[in-house]
Amino acid sequence: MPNPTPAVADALFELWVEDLGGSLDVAQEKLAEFVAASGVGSRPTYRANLVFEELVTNALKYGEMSGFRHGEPPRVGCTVRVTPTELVLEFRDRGRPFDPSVAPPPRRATTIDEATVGGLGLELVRKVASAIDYRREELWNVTRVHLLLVPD
Amino acid sequence: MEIQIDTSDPELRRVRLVGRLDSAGVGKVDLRFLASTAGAGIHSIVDLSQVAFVASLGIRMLVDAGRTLSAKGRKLVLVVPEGLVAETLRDGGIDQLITMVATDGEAVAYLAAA
Repeated sequence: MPNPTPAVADALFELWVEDLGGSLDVAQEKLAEFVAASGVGSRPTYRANLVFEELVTNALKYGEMSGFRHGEPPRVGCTVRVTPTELVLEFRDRGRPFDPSVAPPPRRATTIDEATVGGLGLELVRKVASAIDYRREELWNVTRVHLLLVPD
Repeated sequence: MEIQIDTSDPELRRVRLVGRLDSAGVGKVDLRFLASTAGAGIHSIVDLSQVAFVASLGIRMLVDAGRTLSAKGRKLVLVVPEGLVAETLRDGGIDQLITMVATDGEAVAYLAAA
């Protein structure tokens, strides 16, 4: 079955998140609107939201962002590109260097009694991504997550 | 995010979650959810059929409740129809830890046999 053709080819969208409260909520809504309007279907839209939620939350909670000037809020930027074959989300933050593509997978519990869910967010991202690229640009972490456009 | 809690059966708690189980959604319901399931200490059926999205924080909330109930010798069962939410839960390995079924009837049958 051929891949669906997005309504908007090579569309580009950028947003910034500064906190895990209202700013993340608003960004999630804008992201969902943009991706849905691109006509990529419900599964890529859902997965884009999942990747966005997990990576932005991780960066703001654990990124120890020291690269910002005094008084400037820590923040995470995300650029979204929709091509005919994939959806690409590029995240930028000034936290400590962190490459999510090589982070160790969480230990899988075999019973509910020993279950913990630390590291699960990154595991979910790795499950849905076709590729994850990371580079450090001066003070910036730049993480690019590729999502294949597959039929719903 | 909404939470609907049915306390009519003294031996079975039914909880329905409605909306998005992301960081914002979990922050709105986690205390009531944990109090009504883990805190009640009775078998619990959690209906996720009206949940449109689940992220790792939402999964953590479900696992926390399941683990606490298990320590009390009780079970938590998730009602999750096939779809993207079920797919995410399986990606996170939750189906290996908590019983997931498609309907309330299946959940009741599972608890009756447990």
